Amino acid sequence: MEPPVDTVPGFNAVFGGENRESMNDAELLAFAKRVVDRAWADLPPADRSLLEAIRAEGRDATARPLGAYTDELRRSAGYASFPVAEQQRQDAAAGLWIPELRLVLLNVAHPSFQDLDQRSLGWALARVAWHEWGHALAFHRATSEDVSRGRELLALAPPSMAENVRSADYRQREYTHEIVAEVYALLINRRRRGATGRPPWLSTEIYELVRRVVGWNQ
Amino acid sequence: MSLPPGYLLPEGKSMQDILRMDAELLSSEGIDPQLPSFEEPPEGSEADSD
Repeated sequence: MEPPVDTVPGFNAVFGGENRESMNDAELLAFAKRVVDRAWADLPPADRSLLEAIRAEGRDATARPLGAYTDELRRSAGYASFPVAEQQRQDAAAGLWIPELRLVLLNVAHPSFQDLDQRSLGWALARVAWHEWGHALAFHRATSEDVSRGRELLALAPPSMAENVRSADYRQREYTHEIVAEVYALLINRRRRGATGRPPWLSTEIYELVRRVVGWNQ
Repeated sequence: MSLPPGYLLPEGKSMQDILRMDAELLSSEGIDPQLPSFEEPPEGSEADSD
């Protein structure tokens, strides 16, 4: 089980936001959990229904590195551990979708959240959750041909997005999934602000891919 | 097919940079990129109906 957050070294120390300073560790974790629930409510109803239909509506926040924490969760559910190298890679992640457990999990203590005030932290946590639900929706519908087109799709993505995917520690065969998940997170953000349809900054090819593998119809 | 490895930050970039990228894309199509309080539900949104 997850230890109490006040036993996690440095958990609160990494946060320096002006509104966040008043929150203790437990309040910060509770805030993250509320944000994840809010982010879930922002998904289109059809997407939530699909995720619920495949029992993939699980969501939570933790203050522990995700590789180590999810390894405990997976083993307690009877699954074998990932190789250590893969766990270390997952430890570096701010969010993770765990297909076997049908769970999206965020690490609120991840260093990438450290310089954000409370408002930005909320959006950042939501963004990561939307990205992971993008994976959950798309993972089994993306074909091997889609996956093999990762570099080609990267060239069609907005340059800033392409550069982010390229410079993160992703493998080439993961590019397609990451582009789809990044676009999905941005489409949810736009939808929350009343914008629907294909954004002008997104190529028709990538938009149609997202429509096909995520089922996006907003 | 390999599993998604989780949300990894680009090398040398922070979440502020990611939020800035989002804001720039939204601004480019005329959407106000300012961040309202996240916990407030979007007014009139379908998302409220859950």
